[in-house]
Amino acid sequence: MLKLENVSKSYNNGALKAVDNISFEVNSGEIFGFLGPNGAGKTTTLKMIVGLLKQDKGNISINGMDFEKHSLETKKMISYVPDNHEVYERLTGIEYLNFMADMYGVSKDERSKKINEYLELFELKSSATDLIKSYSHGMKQKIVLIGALLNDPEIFILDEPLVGLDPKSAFKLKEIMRERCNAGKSVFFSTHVLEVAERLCDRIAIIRKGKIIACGTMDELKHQSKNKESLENIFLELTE
Amino acid sequence: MRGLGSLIKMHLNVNFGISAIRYKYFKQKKELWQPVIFFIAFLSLLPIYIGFINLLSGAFGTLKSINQEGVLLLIGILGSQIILFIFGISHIFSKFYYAEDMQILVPLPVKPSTILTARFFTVMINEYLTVFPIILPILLVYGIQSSLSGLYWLYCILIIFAIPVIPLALSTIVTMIFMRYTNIKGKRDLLRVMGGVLMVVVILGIQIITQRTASNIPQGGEAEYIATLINERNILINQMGISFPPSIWASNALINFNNSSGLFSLLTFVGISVLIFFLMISVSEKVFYKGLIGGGEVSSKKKNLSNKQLSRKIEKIRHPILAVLEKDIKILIRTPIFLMNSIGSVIIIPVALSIPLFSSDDMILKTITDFYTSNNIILVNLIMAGFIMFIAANNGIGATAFSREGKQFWILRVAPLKVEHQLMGKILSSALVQILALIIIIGGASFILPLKLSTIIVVTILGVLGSIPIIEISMLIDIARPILDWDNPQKAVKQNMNVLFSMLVGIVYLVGYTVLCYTVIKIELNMIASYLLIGLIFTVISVILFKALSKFATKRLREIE
Repeated sequence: MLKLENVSKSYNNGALKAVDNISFEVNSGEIFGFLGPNGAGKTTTLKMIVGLLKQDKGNISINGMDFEKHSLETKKMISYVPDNHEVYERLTGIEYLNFMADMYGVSKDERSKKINEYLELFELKSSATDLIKSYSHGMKQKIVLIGALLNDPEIFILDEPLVGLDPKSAFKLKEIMRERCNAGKSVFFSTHVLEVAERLCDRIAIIRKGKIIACGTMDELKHQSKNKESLENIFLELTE
Repeated sequence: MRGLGSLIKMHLNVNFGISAIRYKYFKQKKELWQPVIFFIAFLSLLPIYIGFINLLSGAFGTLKSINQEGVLLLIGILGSQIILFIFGISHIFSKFYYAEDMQILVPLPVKPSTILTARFFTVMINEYLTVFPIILPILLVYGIQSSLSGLYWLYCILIIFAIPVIPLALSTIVTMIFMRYTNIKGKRDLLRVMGGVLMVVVILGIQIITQRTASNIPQGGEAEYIATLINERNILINQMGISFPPSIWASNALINFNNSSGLFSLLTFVGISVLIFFLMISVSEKVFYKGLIGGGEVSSKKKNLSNKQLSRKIEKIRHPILAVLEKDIKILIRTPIFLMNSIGSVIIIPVALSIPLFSSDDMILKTITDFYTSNNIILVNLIMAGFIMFIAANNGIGATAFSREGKQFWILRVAPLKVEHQLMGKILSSALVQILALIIIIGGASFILPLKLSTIIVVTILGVLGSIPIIEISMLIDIARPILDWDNPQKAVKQNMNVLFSMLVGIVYLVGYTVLCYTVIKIELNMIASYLLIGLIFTVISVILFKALSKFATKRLREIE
């Protein structure tokens, strides 16, 4: 569904290689976890996938369509939740959701159903008509999440989605991720929380200094490591 | 005043982006073409600037012949101080009350007056940049043409440094008191912006009235008046500077630098500057935090909506152009700094420019009324339409169309939105503000003379059509180097060089428009045909520019990091 082939990205005129020739694939119906220490290149990779950064080399394709050539069609199939939750603070929650629904061309019935469902689920209904500026950090994160779910994306891409969410909302988000996969869609997210990755992900890639150093199911990763007890041990060993 | 030095250093660093510039151009070595373009743009200004200096030299000669050459100094100083006072208010609004970093500073164990002083110095240094280009050539022309000694130049240095103190300290005091009493829940932002704009308009009004009273020449006494002018050296200064006496002291200090009167004026000017500065400090201890704390709060109603109420808020699918337009306008209106700088300037510019009309005697008004006849109607209509375009070049809405998105720009970039639709939405939001400018200008003009329906129609159509190319050019400039990484909305609008660049391009555009109008009138084309021709030219330029903008924006939207 999502395919990266030999993708590279560097900064400072090539002096700093943020992402170095990485390739992997995210299949339909799978939750794919993207792990790595701080500054390893996770956010850069995610931003290249959604079109916020342009790769220096390599191809990114979604459902077989090249992102560069078919950016509108591919953008319609994905949605993205960044880690900073920068959102139009001078709009109300409901205005933001209407705007996002307009961007993705979501019909009135569909958006009505989804907005109701997710506002209820994330307990934001009573704040929906307030300015986003009045929201807490976690509430902003939730409104961005809802906005990203309105178009029922084929690939749901999230950058550190569980940081800042209260335990109840984090649980609900994990349920949503699982449900989406059961419906044949994919989820691709970066995280530091290794237990979540271990329990939730069908496959995992570990990136270090811009290079993918391990990729596969938990079992496959265990085979690659001497210390096979937990993902934490594997992660520590591989990223040392 | 513990920590004042570090605070000033930090403010200057953040304000001028010194570390950021160093990182970008020296470490990352990214977009090095930008400083080159900057340099070329400044070089291109040189001819205009040389023209300005020549104009000043000419004015000096004329004024000297009637013994009033000191007026040149007064105009420079008074002009600078009025500009500082008016621009100071909006600057202080945003720097003191709407800057996000205040949240970091307030909890620090530093006195409010220390924070305020540090901010004040940053604003002052910023304002020097506005004032230097005006005042420096005036002081130079006066000093060189009168071949004055070293003491004059010493006085000059002292006065230049002191110039911003009185106007900025006064506007800080006024703003602090205003903010103290408007820090009330509810429509605080709107109240404050409207109050701020009104404050500027009132101050301009006071200027007009004082000027008018001071410069009234008794009827029949014109000859006597001119005789007094020639006999009493620099008497005009006291008449003209009456609306802001510090300008009289400063001018007097420079004119009489070689005698005790000059020294006394200098001491008065510097002394009063220091006094007002300390008055500001003492007022700040009492009222600064009262107006600031809680100022950024936004009330939340936490209203439990029924499903029915909620579904009423969920809208039907809209075209992306309309969605972008609505979002842009809402954010523009709801962000105080944006509102003040864009829509505020749409109100303030016409008011400021109409001062000469009202501050002189009724002759000018009468001349205008007499001029508005069927013979000249085409010229009046074209001038008014040109004025609408002038506002488009100056309100900075197009030039900040992308910069205003700031860190939220990712939303539009990630969305499956056609670049053309995004641009169309943004052009329309700028054009909508032009309609407001139209209402103000046509409404204001109707006060002076009864406008014909044809004027209203022609000015509306040509004004808006002619504004679109300027908006497009401004957007081209903004997308080339958008200022997205800001934590204070002021950086997106007030400290954004794109606004200045589009103003300059706007001037060139208006020169082109003038040439076009001249040609159309010269070839004596039928009136309707003239309007149609000009409208057609605007439309063609708009379409061509839109295509160029779409192409460039598509490229830039992919490149921006």
